[in-house]
Amino acid sequence: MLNTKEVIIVEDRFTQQLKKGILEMLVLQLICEKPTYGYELLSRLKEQSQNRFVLKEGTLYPILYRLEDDGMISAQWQQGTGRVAPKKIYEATENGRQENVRRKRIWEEFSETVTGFLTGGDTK
Amino acid sequence: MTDAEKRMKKYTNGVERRLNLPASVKQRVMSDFISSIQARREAGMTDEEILTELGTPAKAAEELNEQMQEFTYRKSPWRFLFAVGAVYGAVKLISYLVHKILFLFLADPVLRVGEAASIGIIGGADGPTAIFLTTPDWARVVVPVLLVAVGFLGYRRLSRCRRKQ
Repeated sequence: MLNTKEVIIVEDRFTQQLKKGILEMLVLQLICEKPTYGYELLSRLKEQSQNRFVLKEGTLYPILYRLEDDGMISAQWQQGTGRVAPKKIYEATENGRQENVRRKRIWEEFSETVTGFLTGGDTK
Repeated sequence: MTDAEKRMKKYTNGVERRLNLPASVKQRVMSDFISSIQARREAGMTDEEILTELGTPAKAAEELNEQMQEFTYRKSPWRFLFAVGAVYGAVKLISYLVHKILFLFLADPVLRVGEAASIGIIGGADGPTAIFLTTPDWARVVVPVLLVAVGFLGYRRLSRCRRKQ
């Protein structure tokens, strides 16, 4: 099995740059799907990416705060039942949902264009 | 508080202490960090596993500090100039008030005349002091008060956190 720790260490600048914007898009998408909290986001990113997007809390927080400051998501404290401590839960705002749709469109255009370039290069 | 809770509290306090971030950001980070620990517990992880995953307080804090770079703030070094101004104004004001109060209790008119005369003589002897000593009474209150006000506000303004873009 792939050791995720090593993958993080060998990650170069190019991959990091690429990931940066994409992660923000994915986090917004995940929050749009359903209200969620930090740890759940990390687990979902990890599972759905087959261990390719393994983040630490520290990497996630700036993304969440940027989204929150831009009014795309909002944080609430969710009271647990019984002795369970309250947790901070994030949910998408109306603005966030619209922005998410816009971002998806941009991504589709982007990936189509980029793929066009890359496959074009291959056939030469 | 149970022992496990105490241990976790000690851990999160350790992380918080090492965060080199403005208070508001610190609070924000810690609220999420603590939520994260809670979520891990609910997901069935033991405290042991959680602590191993998050790393030592020093390591966890270092990562957070590093990643939260864009949310750190810069305080202008010029703020010290304002601080010094405010302190100077405060000292002047207090010394003036102390003088006034002492005079109220101690001085009779004769002493006051004597004091005024000696001020005149000493003041006359060296220039800039004379200007200060012969300035009107109101100015000796207003100027230090202004100094304190401007100094304090300036200091506050310059140490206000601004997000680096």
